[in-house]
Amino acid sequence: MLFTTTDFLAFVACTFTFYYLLPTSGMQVGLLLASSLFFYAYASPSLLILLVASATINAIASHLLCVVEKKSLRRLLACVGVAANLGCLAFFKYSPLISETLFSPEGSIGAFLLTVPLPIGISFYTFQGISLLVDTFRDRESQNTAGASHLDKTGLFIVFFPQLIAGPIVKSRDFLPQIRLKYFRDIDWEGSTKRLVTGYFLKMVVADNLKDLTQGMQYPHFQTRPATDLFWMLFAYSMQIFADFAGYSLIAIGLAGLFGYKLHENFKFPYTAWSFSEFWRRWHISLSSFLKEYLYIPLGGNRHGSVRTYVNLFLVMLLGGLWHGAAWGYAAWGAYHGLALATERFIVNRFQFTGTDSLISHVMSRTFVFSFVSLGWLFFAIPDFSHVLLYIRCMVANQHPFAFQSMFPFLIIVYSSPVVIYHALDILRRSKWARTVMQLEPWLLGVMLFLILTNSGSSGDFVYFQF
Amino acid sequence: MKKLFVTTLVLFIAWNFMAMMLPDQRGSSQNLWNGNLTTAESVLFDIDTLKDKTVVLGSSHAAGMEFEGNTLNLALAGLSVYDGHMVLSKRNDSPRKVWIEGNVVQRPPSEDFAKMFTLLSNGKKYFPGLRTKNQPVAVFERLYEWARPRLKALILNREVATEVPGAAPEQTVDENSLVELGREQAVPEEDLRVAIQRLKRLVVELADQGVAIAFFEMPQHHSICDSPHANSIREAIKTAFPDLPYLDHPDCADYVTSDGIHLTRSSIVKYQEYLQKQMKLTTGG
Repeated sequence: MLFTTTDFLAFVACTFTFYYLLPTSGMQVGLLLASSLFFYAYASPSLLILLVASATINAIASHLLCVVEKKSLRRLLACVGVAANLGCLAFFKYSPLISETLFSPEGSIGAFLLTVPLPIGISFYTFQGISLLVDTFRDRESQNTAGASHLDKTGLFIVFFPQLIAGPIVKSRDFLPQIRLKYFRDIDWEGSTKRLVTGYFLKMVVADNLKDLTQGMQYPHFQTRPATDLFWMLFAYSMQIFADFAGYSLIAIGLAGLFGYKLHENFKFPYTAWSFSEFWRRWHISLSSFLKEYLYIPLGGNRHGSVRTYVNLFLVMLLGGLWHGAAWGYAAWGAYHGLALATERFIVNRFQFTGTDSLISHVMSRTFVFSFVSLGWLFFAIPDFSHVLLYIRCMVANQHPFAFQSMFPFLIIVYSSPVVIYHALDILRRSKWARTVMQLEPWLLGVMLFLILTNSGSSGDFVYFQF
Repeated sequence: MKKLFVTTLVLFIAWNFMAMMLPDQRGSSQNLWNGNLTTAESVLFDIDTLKDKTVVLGSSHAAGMEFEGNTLNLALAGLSVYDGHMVLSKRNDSPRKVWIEGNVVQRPPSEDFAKMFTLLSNGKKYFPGLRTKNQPVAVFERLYEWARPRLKALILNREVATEVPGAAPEQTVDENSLVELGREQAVPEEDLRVAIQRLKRLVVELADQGVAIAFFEMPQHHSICDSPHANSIREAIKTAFPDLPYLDHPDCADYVTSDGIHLTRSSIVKYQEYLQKQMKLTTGG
């Protein structure tokens, strides 16, 4: 069920109405659990079994981690639980890749692996399962919250519908303590409305319209487009993927707010970053912090010398890339960012270079990071690695002037402008101009809502649904 | 919160009034999808009666034709003849004649497109500001298109020729790349069987409403015009509907395509003239 459909609006309206009529926390949790399972099963009921199994296993494992006293047994339980989550993710997500890489598609094993379905949102809910087990292992007290039963609470943590399909990835220690009886009077209407309107605007007006303008990036169509179009489309895709994912995250946070839950922000003006490490502190923050806490630091982080730090950075990004999708293109994208982060760390360490405060330096570094990141999105837009290389070659080679569509850049500029203005507000946040714009916020939100009604693009899946 | 909703309401009312006064233009398609919606909404909301009309159903092959008079082009880019028919079925009347493009009848109807014409979309009937052609960006696009040559002239202090759509050099495709289109294989029999069944339902429904029906085939690149793929579809249609007129493609060597399957602007115009002549000869219009 897409957030942008009328079915979903009706679903939320029903759940919301009954939710605040219920007198106990346990009943509210039960309703949210049932609604979330219905939400997930709406499109593919058969895959609900896997979600329920995953949530149940994690709930039981975390319960055992709460009650078992012996440390070695607790460690074993946590390891088995994490391995079960990773095994589930590996089997369902990477079977086609394993089949293509290691087996013949005609052979019985290869053919079988190709038929394994990819459950929507599996990358997100298995990561939340891991967070639950690791957090409970580290601090069992944090999981002992009042209200509903352990199974219900941990179940809700994993299947909570606003963030079930595409995050933000929530840590159990942030979510579980919030489970208690919620009151209608406590709803943060202003914060939720602001996020919902901005999120829907970014998705329906910006991303969905840009999506139709970047369709030409697909193979083989891009080969017939002039180089200028290819550059414009790459820029547009960079704007589109931000608007799509940041839009989804804002909607998720806004919806969670309506039910009394506070989720952390997932994006913080990422295209204003002047370094790669800063970019990853601003883009998909919940994934970055998950990878940092549950992978980079356990690997040793920066505690074992420079070379080990570079290797760790590279490994984390490589695995982060593969987390996004079962294709070598995603691994290449992860390696691309891993190399950038490692190189940046090397330059900082070796030359003690931390940039300068001059305007030119800031503009140049921001432009460089944005261009590098945007070029990397080619791996997302075009899953086949060889086609990515072909696209880059066409960006240089397709200099013929045919089929120049004069309105094409105009439309890209118009639909990208909200993303550009949004980022400009961060850069100029202390200026008088930005403060004036911020004062106009309620009216600007009104304009956004008007544009959602009158200027939405064709409805499409959220880009991150595929992960 | 109050300011937010009041702003939206005021803008919405003002925009609807403005939309009522906007000149009626169809060429406001920012992309293929919006172009299809604009075409469909124009058939649904702007035309009083279909009784004296000839309607063309088809795909992107035929979507570029711009008829005048009593012929309406309901060919939808990236979609199928069934999507165009779905739009027709939302009306209470039927056209006099329907010409069905035969090139891609095996393409199934689009669920996403059908969803755009649910009960809620009726709001577009009463609020013109909600129609696709009146999207704010589409209106500003038209305004920009109109103003650009004039602004240029003003800045350069001389006359600047207005750009004619399609006047740019026409792109053609390398013949070798046509292999990638996969036209050397006939359409699988099972796919054809399903397609013809679907097409029969469409034809029966139209015939029951007293609509005269005919098929036509758009030319493609000469190397694939009579490929096994094209032949299999053509033969299936002719076999299934022996009593209905079928207008074969003209000599494909006389036409130029941009990508092997879609005609360039000048070839579209040329074929349109040919089709209109043949329409008169075959079904009297």
